[in-house]
Amino acid sequence: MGGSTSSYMPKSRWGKWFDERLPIFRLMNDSFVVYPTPRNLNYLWTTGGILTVCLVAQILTGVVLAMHYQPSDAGAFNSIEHIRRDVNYGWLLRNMHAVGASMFFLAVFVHIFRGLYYGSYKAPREVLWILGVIIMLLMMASAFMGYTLPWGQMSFWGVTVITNLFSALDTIYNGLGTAIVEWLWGGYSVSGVTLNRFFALHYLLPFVLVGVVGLHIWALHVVGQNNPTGIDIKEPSDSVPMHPYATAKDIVGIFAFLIIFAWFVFFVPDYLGHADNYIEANPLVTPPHIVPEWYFLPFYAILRAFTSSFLGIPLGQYAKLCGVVAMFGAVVIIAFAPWLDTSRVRSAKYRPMFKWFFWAFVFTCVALGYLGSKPAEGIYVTAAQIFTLYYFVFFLVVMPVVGLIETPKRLPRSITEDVLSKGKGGGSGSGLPTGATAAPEVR
Amino acid sequence: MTPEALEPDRRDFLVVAGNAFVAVGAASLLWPFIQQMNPDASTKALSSVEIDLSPVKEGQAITAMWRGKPIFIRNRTKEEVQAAEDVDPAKRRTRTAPSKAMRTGSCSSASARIWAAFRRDSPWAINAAPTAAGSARATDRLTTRQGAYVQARHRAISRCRLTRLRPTPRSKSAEGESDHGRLDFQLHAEIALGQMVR
Amino acid sequence: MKRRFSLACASIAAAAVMAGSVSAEDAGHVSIERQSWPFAGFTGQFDKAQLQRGFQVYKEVCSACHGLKRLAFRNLVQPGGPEFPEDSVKELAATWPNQITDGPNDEGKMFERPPLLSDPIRGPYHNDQEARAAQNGALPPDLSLMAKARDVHRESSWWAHPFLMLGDIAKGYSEGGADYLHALLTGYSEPPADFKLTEGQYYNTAFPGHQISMPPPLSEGSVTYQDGTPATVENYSKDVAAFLSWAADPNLDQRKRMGWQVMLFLIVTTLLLYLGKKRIWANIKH
Repeated sequence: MGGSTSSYMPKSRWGKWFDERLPIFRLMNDSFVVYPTPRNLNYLWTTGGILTVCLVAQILTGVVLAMHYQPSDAGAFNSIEHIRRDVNYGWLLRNMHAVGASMFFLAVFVHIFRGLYYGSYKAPREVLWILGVIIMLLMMASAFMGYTLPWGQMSFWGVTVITNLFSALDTIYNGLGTAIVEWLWGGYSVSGVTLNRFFALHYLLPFVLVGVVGLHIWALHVVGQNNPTGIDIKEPSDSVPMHPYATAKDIVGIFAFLIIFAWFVFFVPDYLGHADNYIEANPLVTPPHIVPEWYFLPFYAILRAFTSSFLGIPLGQYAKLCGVVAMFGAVVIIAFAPWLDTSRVRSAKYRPMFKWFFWAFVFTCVALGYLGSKPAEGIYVTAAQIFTLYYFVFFLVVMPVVGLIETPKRLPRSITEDVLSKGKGGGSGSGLPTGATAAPEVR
Repeated sequence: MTPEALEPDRRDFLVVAGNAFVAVGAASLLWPFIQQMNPDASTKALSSVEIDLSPVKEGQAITAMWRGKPIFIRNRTKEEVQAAEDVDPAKRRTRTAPSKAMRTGSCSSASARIWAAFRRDSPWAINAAPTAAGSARATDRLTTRQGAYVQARHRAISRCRLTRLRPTPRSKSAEGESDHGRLDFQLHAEIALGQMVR
Repeated sequence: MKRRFSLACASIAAAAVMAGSVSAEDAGHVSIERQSWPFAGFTGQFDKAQLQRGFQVYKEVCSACHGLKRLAFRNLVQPGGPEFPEDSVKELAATWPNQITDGPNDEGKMFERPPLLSDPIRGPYHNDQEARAAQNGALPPDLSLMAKARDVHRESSWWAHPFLMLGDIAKGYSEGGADYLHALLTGYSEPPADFKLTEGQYYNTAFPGHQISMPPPLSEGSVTYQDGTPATVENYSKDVAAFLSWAADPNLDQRKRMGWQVMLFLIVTTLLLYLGKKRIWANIKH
């Protein structure tokens, strides 16, 4: 892609005939067979393949579940029970879909943390990175609406809480927030009308996701993969053809992931969910603790960190608005990483100071997740405020400043040099695989 | 590719075995997706119906629902039975063997066809809903077959009890074993005469 | 870094396994102990005899107020459950006190008829309002999903939390509902001296808030088991909790059986693929 010539030669006459009319096999070959992949990628680079499998799995299980699901307030909960009890393998499909959503987010968080650590967001991968943030937003919207569909207590009340957030806009322009909220609801409270439209959108968004993922992979293939050294492919010995090398590694990663997935599906399918969602939605009964699914907990903690004051700063009537802005801001700010980070070194492997701040960031995200599950009282609020502060400090202060003041470690000259200098001597060859085509454009 | 330089047998075996396992996994993963479209347990449970025939007096008829379609059950008077008997065999617009009838496609409706035939002297006649092809069918009395049977696309069940008719295989219950793959076959259903059927 | 990370994972796993089942009792918090269930864990399956006894307890005690509307009578026959003989369930259904509303008949009226195998196991009340009217404002909930709608939360310090979670996941702990139900049914006692008990409520150690509208439903000897199991409240509680666990999750047997087969397949395949990958990469220093 991007300027290199394709070396694909169709083997059969039919292959040649088709290639002259729609060169899709050529495209597949160039993108996924001979495509030069850095030879030093570790297993964190299998998350891309894992995420594709997750997306396909969610779509397939989702479509078959939709054959039995009824998106009405009277029918939704009952149809889920019908799926669990009567539909052939309904219990399995439902578990796969519910657990699949959690696994999707687990993989995407690892994928994003990997990108942050190795500097995959830095030039020339900015558009790739922004597309990734868009994918995560679409995933979050999809998951949020999907969780509504069982129409249990948590479904109903979670939607009520989160859609009510938009009323915070009333402090900016009177009536705007309420208008938006009633537009979302299709009424004056969350009801079957809301459920029905969320079902329609929940069915739609994954296909939008497929499109954006396509763009994401395209953008990736133009610039090429990053790798643990952060140094681009310079010479043919830096890379290996994607097939069979990267594909072999990807499939190991995928199956290792499936082990975790299957464990949850078959043995603890409801562990990542909430027991209250096995109670039918009741507008007259509020659950004692309203919590979203675990993958939303960090953002929920950030939202609730903004009470009447934030670390001593009084917020007054703007508390809710600040919380909402901070929650969305926490996702959006990730997109700005390419411009916030001033370091000329990509990979944190060679950035000793940044490394510590990165791990503190990971700890912050986990801590915020824990705090999101706790009631918003006492020390939990103070802790959430501190960690929220660090979350934004990481992007707005650490990234610009540390890049300027730290002394990076000495970088290897190339991927090959880094790989060959590692440990004891490996196999007999020089490690130069034949068959790798020209490297992608290097800027 | 340089991997050829390695012992081809061992590498090939591992890779081939691995790929084979993946293929088997993918194939077995497919089965639940296909099977979920088959009738579910609640549908299968509702696919049989027990009909109380005791209140149906001679000359009366009732309509019952079965698998979403009406079944007309008539307690024929002696005269009606005699009239049907007296019809010249050559003129009977009936089938001698239901399987043959299915093959000739005499019922044009695409949905499950239900009809029954009885002993000639049985007062009970069961007929399927009129099809698009003609409501005349509803009045057909299919009386050539010994014994009574109900025939339908899939597993036909009507829960009834053996009577004075000749022994026929007992109908199986709806929610019991399923029968993948057998699409057309007949079951003999015995209609209890004047008895509460439970 | 990879090595450090894998070391961390190993130690977490070790800690998780050792964490075991801890139930803490804080002031104001409920204390629920974990029981051992035949259907728990990786190889768990329901004990059919226990499910049958549990159903007997439900029928003789609980069905007076609680329905089981998401179960049909035919579910009592199917494999994976109590597996009662079909004829006896048919008879049970035909004599079940709570009939099914059907109709309209030829006069245009709705009527009640005895349930068939395909009908749900209804409770005594047609709707919540009728239940509340009969129960002084209290609503006896339907029990079909009660074992899944309740859970046991362990109080723990923040640093122990991830280890305990991993431990539960590794052990396949999903019997929180059963543990809660057992604790509830055996949790009736005299309130402590300083506890203010509202009129008409009963003190229960397991119920959130410790005050429950339901009077103690079980008492020694109230149900006579056919198989000679001692007629104690402890046994009733365990058996009915197990039965309700089945009612909420009738496919558990099939799910766990399929589960270990799938796990075995995945582990073997992953291993094969990993060895294959090592072979493919043998010549490439990476």
